[in-house]
Amino acid sequence: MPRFLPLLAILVAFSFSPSLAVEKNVQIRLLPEKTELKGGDRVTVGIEATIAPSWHTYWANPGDSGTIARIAWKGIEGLEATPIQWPLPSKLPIGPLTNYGYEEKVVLLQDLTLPKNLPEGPQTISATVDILVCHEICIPETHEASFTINNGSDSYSEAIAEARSFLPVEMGWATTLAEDAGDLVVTITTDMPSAFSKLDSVNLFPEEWGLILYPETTRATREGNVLTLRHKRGERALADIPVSKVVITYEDATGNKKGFRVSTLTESAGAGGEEETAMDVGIFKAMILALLGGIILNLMPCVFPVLSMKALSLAQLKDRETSIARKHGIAYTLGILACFGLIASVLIVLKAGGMQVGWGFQLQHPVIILFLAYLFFLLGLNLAGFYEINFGLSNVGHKLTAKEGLSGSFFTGALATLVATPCTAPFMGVAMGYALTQPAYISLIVFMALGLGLALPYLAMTFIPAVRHILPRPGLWMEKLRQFLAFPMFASACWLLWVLSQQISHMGQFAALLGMLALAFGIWLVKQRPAQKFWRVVVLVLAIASFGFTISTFTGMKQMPESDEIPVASVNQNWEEFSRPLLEKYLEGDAPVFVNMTAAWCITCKVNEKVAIATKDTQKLFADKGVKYLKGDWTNQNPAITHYLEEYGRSGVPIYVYYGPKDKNTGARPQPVVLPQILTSSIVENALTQNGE
Amino acid sequence: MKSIFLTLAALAFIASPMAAQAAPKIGEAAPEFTGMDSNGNVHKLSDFKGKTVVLEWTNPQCPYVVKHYDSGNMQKLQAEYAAKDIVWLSINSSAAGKEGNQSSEEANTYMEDKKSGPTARILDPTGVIGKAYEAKVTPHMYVINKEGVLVYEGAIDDNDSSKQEDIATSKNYVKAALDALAEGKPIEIAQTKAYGCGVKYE
Repeated sequence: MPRFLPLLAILVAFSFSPSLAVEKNVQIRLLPEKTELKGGDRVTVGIEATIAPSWHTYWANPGDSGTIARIAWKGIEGLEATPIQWPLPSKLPIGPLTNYGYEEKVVLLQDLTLPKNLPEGPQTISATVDILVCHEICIPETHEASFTINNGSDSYSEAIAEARSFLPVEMGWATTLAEDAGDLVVTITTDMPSAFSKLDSVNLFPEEWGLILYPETTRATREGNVLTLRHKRGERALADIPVSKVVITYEDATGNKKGFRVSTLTESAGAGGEEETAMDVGIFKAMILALLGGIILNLMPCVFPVLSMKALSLAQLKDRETSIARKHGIAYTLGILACFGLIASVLIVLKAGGMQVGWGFQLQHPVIILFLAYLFFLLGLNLAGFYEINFGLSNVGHKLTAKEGLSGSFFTGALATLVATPCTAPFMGVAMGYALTQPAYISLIVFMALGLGLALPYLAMTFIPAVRHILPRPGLWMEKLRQFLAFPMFASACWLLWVLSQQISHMGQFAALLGMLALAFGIWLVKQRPAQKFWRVVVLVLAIASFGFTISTFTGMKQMPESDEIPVASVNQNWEEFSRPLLEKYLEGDAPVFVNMTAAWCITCKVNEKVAIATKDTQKLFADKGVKYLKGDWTNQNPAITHYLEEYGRSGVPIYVYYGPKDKNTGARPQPVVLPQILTSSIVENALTQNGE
Repeated sequence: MKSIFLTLAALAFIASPMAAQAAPKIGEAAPEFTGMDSNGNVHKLSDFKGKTVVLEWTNPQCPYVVKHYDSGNMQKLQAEYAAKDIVWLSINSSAAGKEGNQSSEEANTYMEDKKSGPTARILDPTGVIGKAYEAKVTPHMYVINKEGVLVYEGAIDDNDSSKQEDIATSKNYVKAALDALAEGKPIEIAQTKAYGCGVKYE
């Protein structure tokens, strides 16, 4: 590419020079977001500078040399302009000096407020732009540019939206500045630490001059949710700058340049000790939450039957056989921990590889959903007594023995983990979110705590005979209960098929149903034991064919391409599909915004929607308040949604965020409110009425 | 092998940032330097002990320098403080082949044209003095008191525009520092952000 630049330069010079009396190195254009305006309106205007190749203009802090652009507005009496909003700068080394600025093209943004008594008819607003442009030499250029409103001229809402995407995101993260060993140390407590996976790409841009030596590099480290940047100190005393703003740019996992802006406080002495304890509390809390979440998982419809059967077999043990029970308890626990360890490792590895994944990611792949659906179906058939193969469940009526079945217990543990994954307990959202934003070893600890929680009830039963005594005496009721428990399993299978129907075509869904039929037929065939050899061979061939068919259905499970999903706005639909530009557009406006992130496989999400959001009352409330309702669907992978979840410290759905309306006087929006993961319509109502009233 | 070592050493030298040297600090001794002026005379900072010294980084083609020379602002300051026995050194650190680089003759012709009368105009094409002071832009101004202590560093005034008409309404930091020194008062603003074109180092 660089080798084409000179050619490009010639082409550009050739195409521009004949039409211009004086050759300028910058072309200025004004891009109003709207051109139909009335008195008192506020409009964003982009000041687009197209910069000649190899030349550059400057950011809010120009670095070692240079000056910032100055823009003076005129044309309408009483016109007011906000300070310039500067897009993310680049570091431009010029010999031993370094500048902060822009090359090729930049769009600065300013908001203009029109006077209340705006005269009728077309009005021309013009700007005098003083801009310094340099490469080897510097040339201050003065440009006059203008645009006309209320005469049907073009507006540039798309260009403005694009320009906004290059602005740093304002973050309220606690940030301190300190000095240590000749370095400026910027300490930021972030709630999206995993965004900073490429620490090499992190660059510090202070808006105040003299804080750092610009040609030096920023060294970033991250520990937990604390991002620390070190950069060689500049000449200016820190005490000069009690409060300042800094912009930090970085590359996200996919290599896109991102940036945020924070206010900093200068601190006199480091407070490292406090931060460490704060983090310890974080781990401790997350472990407790994970443990609780794990225990609650035992009650989920998909796990409960598996566990009940396991527990019932214990009831048949005598007290003196406790040592056998303990061995089974330990084997079962190990099975769970091994399985959780595996899932956690896969997650951590995928994360480290830059994949946008979160808890529940397993369910974003149709093959896994189908596998789980078949698994639940098989377990259901087993419980119903359709066939007897020891799944670790069917030992009702058989005693546990020390010699055999230990591996079965291990397998049951692994199975429990597998069937537990779709049932994300509400408590786990926070713990998992925390776990996935932490260094690998902490993630692993939290996952292990979750596994331990899942294993705990059974483990307790095997270790404490008294707990086992709570169970009624063995009898026929156990057989009945076992048959009954087949139904939650079938129900789970039904639900998984429905999830699958959101991800694949109708044909794929039909194939999945046929796969189940073939599975059941195959099992029935295997149970047949014909006397004649001929029939035995026929049965065997047919059984193999049936199972083969079931397995073949996995190949048809291709995710529907995203472009196929054309969002159809139904008459009653009061939401729009979430996208980052749309959210930003609405946040620019005055109206309140409600964001709901959901997925087809997330039962909690569906229940919340049913009872709290899609109700008539809430819909009416949304309409009355003029709420812009955005819904994101995380059923399939969607990096934009994953990133949004990370911003709020989550790694899974659901999440509900309410952005209150802008204050009419100050034009400021209140802090967004994150609603609980279990919603009621009154919670939604409270959130909407308390804010900005 | 030797050549690799030399290449690496050369690279290390080129890459070594100017910050490697001790940065001049307000309230500390100004770095000593030796430089040759446009008339071939050699000057050392220590030669001027007992006198207040102004260092002015300059580049005749930089629009911000042009602002202060075409308006006569810089020459006026030079003349005013020459009369008060203050040493004024204009230093040109533009490297050979870069914008603003001057030979001795060009420098003298320029001073004659502009009626500029500093104590001396030092030519520093290797940038040694500029880097010792971490001079970043033109004009970048330094004031050193009679004891050889750096007391002011930064911009010439508080308006970083490139327009001559803004000079009349600007607060001149160098003038304020020199006047405070003369009256024995503390310098209120001892450090500012210098503005202008980057110094054209090699």
